[in-house]
Amino acid sequence: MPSTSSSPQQQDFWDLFTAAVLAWLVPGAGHWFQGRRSKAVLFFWTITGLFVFGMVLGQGRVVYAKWHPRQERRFFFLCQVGVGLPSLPALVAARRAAANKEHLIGNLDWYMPPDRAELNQLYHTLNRRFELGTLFTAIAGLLNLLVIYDVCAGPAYGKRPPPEEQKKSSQAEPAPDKKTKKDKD
Amino acid sequence: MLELVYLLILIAAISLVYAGTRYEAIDAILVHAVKTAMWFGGALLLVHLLLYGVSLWAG
Repeated sequence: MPSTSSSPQQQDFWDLFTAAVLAWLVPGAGHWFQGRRSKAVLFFWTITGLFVFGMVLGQGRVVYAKWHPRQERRFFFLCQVGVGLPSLPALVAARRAAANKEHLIGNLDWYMPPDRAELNQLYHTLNRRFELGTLFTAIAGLLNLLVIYDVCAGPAYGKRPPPEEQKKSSQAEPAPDKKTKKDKD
Repeated sequence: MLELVYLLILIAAISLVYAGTRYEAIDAILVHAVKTAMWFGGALLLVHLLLYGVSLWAG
């Protein structure tokens, strides 16, 4: 585990890789791994909350994996998979559907890819909530990509970090002059 | 009216995550998130007014 509150620049490749994978699997987990606890909590609640809200709007039927040339190519899943673990059951459900098995979770149809008739029924029942649920879950996935970037590369300050954060980073790094003086002695 | 609530939730989430990727300190993140949300809301309002104007002009 890297030292607490260490900046991304101070960590080695495997720490960054682990943090990036964790950030993908669970929004905010990568930041928690790096010791950036407040941001971890912020990202977890925001992204997971958005994803769950989308799922509730769509009654669990908006996240599914389907790639059928004649029926439907579910491009939105490519965005939704950015959220990580909450969207991965869709891949398992797709395999169950291909094997003509029913239901992934108990008696719920969550994550199961609908056929054409079922999809029409969903649009009829849910109206715009199906589209809204899809949108919310897809945006949650895309936002998590920004979070993964932040884990790997740190905050995108722009030209320079704000004064208080410049001060923090200069206090964290040792002064090179003092070291060379000690070495000489 | 319910669509407005959905929009506010979306703007809030996007603003918080965007601001979170710009700063490290939570205070700076929250301040930037509010500013970003105002920008988003303002831009959407402008587009809405523009489209409303077009719809009135088109009859």
